[in-house]
Amino acid sequence: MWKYEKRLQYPVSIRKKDLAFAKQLITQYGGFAGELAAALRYLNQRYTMPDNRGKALLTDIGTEELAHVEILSTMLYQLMKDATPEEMKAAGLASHYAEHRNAIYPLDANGVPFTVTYFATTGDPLADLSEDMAAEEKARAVYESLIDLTDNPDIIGPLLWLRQREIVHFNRFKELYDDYKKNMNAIQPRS
Amino acid sequence: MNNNFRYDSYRNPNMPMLNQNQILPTPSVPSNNNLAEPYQGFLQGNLFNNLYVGYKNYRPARIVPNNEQAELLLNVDQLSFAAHELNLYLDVHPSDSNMIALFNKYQAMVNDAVNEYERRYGPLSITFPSDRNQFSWEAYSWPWEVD
Repeated sequence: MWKYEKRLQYPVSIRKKDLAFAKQLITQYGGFAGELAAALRYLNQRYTMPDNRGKALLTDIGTEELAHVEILSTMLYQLMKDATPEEMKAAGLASHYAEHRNAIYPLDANGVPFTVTYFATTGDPLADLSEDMAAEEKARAVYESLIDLTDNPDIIGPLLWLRQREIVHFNRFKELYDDYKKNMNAIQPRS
Repeated sequence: MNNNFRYDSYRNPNMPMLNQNQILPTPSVPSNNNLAEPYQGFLQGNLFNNLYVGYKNYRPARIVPNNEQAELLLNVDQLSFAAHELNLYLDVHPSDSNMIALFNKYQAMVNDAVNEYERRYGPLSITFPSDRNQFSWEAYSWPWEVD
């Protein structure tokens, strides 16, 4: 069961339309290192974690990633709001306009639609947690690339914040991974 | 609701961080000196100072509320964030009694902050009781809207 809170986890207020940046930023919504893949990855992996720490951590980080999907969606919505078809076309978003107008849709920066093959679930806690650590590092790297591509403080503020969350999540996953690894015999599934 | 604050000083390494006392009541000092205060932790996106890793010369954006609604919302945001950070920590370290005590304390403060916000500015959660003639949940702006 989930409960919605009518607020963003971190505030977003982008005053200036920027279609060229929206075209790049969208990858953190629907790309390989994006927040949608993160949310689904953790919420899908949690069922087969070997103890309650793993179930709790993947539930809670997966839930936070849904809040990050909302932050990204808000940024994209505000960056594209009120753009005319001509402006969309000039920014290389004619195909986006044709299919989605000014709505948001989970794509990567090349316009490739979201796919669940961005994440895996192996049923092996060490394999799943090491994927999760790698996913957090990849997302951190992409946030840094995106920060390099803009000088708008309304955009940089949320990107710095989201980047930092990747660092915290990485550390929590690593703590759990290291502990599972150390106690590997104790966490083998009972057959 | 979202135009009621501004980001400030995200890139100036000489700009001192705003002392939380300047705008909001300060929760008592955490026992663990690795822990940031809720406002500072919220701004940097990391309550755990020992885990914080900056990027280039960027400093976290300072969020400055421009009116009472924004200030009350920031109070909800920062306290919820602090409680959430301890939640993630406790998921992996469930027997740390100091952190459990701090989690309980922040969570109680979240509840107070939410009540104070909702009383004046409408529901953050569907559990908030509606007025008789108007369903409050849909009546107020949604978080992605710009005014």
